[in-house]
Amino acid sequence: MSHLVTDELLKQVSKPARYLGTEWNAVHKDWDENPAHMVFIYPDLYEVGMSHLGLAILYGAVNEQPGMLLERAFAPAPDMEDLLREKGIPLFSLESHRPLTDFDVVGFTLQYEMSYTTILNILDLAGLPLLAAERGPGHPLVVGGGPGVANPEPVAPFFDCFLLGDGEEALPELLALMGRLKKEGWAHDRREVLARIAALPGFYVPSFYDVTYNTDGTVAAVVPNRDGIPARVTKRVLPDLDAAYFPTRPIVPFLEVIHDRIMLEVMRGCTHGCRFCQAGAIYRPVRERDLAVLLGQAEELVRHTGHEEISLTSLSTADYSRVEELARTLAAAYEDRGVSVSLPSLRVDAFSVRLAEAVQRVRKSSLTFAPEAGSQRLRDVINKGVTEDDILTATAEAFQAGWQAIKLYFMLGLPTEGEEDLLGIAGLARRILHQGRELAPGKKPTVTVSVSSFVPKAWTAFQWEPQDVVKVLQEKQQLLRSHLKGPGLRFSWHDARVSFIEAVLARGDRRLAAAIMAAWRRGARLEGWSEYFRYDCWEEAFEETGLDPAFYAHRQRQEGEVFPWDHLDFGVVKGFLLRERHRARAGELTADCRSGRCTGCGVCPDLGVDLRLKGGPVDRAPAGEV
Amino acid sequence: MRLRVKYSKTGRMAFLGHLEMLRFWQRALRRAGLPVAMSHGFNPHPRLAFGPALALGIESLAEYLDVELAADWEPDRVREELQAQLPPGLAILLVQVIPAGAPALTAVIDTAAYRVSWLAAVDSGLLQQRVGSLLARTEVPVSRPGKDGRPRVKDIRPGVLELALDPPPDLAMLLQCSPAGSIRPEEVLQALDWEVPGRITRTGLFARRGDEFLAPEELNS
Repeated sequence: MSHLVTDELLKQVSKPARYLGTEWNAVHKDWDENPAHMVFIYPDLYEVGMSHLGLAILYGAVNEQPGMLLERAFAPAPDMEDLLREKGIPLFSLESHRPLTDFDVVGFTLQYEMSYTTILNILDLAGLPLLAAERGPGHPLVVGGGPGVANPEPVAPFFDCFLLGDGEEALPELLALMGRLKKEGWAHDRREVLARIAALPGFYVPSFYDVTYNTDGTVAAVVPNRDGIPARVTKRVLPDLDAAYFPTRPIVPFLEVIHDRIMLEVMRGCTHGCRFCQAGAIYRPVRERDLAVLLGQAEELVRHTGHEEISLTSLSTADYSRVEELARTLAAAYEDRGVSVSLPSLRVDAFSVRLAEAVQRVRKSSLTFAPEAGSQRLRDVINKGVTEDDILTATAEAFQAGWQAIKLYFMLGLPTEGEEDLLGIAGLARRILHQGRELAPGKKPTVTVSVSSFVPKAWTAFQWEPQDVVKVLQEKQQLLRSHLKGPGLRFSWHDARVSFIEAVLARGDRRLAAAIMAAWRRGARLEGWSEYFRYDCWEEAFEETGLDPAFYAHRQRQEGEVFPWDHLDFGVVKGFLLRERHRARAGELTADCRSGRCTGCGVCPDLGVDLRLKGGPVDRAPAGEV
Repeated sequence: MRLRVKYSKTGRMAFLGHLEMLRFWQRALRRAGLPVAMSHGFNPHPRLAFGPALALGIESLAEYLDVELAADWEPDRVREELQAQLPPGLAILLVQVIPAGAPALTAVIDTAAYRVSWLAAVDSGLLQQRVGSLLARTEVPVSRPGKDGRPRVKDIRPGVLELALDPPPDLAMLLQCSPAGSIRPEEVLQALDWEVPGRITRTGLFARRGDEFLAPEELNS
């Protein structure tokens, strides 16, 4: 145990429990007996990072293996950061309080674009050179994973390698390799280490690829610059989640974190095929867990954590083939022990509401639905597959069950959006409010409309589309705001400038690394928090580096264009995305592949995997029959 | 069945706040498999009650919680199962069955004892002198931040029941600690104008009965 973290230091910061590392189920493995050392960093505050299921999974998956250890680190809160800089203390891991530079591998999860400046801040606080090219023998390898690797190019110069796809098996493989290389004495030869890593399936070493550009600024090609390096790196995918590792002794934080509950992962992937959704594309195919496996995991999780709530986690839990049986069984089994069951995301239908009503002992004050768009036309464009009738049936069910507050999520700036689509949002909100007043007389129902701005993402049918400029997004927000005034109606929106920076980074290329660095140097960090977001840092950064953000965010991309991420393979084929783009333009829906009709996205044949459903479509209780 | 649990909170556990401890105990009790009684009503919660909050960064050798069980368990078994669910720095010192109608901890506890051990050399004679002069005063005004954030002057003298070098050069304090008003050990150090860094430990919580100070575990025997 190092002595970087003193009582004196802890006394000077708010929430010192963030930095203790002694939470229940934290793993403190012997440093010398386990030769491969990795620190996993969630580049945000402890409360956010400890809510991340991926961290819990990888922490357990690595630490249960002999010969390797995985510790945690997070972005320090600004008060701690000031103290570290003032006293010259390097950023440390939580378990052994060692400096990050003591580890062989420093791993970041890329959860959202607005964490990129925080990653640089953490590298700087650790005393590591920001650019991979400037790191030498004795420096840890900097590795990235998570959904951000769908297009990691803007941060590629900061990373030695990336892992594409599921990490449960791949990360222990990486650390086993590191252990061997250390033993064999190769660990200090970075090129050799990276060459061996690049030979592992799913690992992408950006420095082994050269990017060339056309005169118009678009990418001409991304090609390997070394023998034996694959032209495309394919993501890792666990074919069978029942056989995969799942942590049943996750860390129980002392502090209240954002998702302060058991996260029981019922499935991975989503079959809906919403055309804006990146997660729905890159986590394919859907793999469900067996009911008996889940019940067993839930029992162990309750016993080992003492949490009071089990959240059935996935991208769309109401779709899990046996969700009703699972939720009801768990709710009944743990009622006596004061443990409740919650469904984090409701589908827009009566089935979801009735299920929530049946199992949620702790009644949340509001129910949230995400129709995403305000008109049927636009919902068809995005392939949401939800009708106004579905929405009104769901909200009616909610009001009748006693909920009085309804929250609705929408996206502004979707492709083809016009004024009537926006007014449709306001109209829908008013109809729901009116419905609430009729169904719950004497009560005061409220309808909250929350809008985010559409950010076109890689691997989606909308990856060719321009984002609305900030001014247009702001005008749309204002228009909606003026139509959502009155008792019972609430309106909230996201800063359009944040969505703009997200859009620049989401489909950017390697040249943007210079702008990210410049923004960080000007003080940008923790930008997921509105109080820390500083647009001026980015404006100045683009100006200084001569990069045009509009080129990345606002340009209509050509269908034949080479994208910065085309040398990466997440299974979904470009032809399918193009087809979906054209169907969107035509307002044609594409069926959910749970229906049994293959949509031809390419994932199953490409990755050699199958959709894994537990029970199949027939077992799925149709809406309204609970 | 109602139980009173006495525990210590030392080392880095001192950096857990009152709310964090509350959450911690709810989960530790569930992990231990204790049949904690639940409150009735819309949003049931475990029947737990705590003593007065301990300030962040202060260690304690005498913290208390009362818990109601839906089934009878031997106190020794409770102690064993619960201790198995605690990280280093938290230790169960005592588990005692108390009458169902016993008054709540916060209703009886009115006094807290603290000890300050110094992290640097101190001049015992000088400290003794400061202590003597503080005790000789009839009023000891100390400023503390009020609810609006602006400093407010408060006379702490009536709340300082005992102050002595015991054992020297450690400083032992017996201070008022009740819903009506609590004196913080740091305020006494401030009034003594004593700036040597020290480690503060809460050594006891008491209910005053005339001239006697009874610990919560002594109230129901």
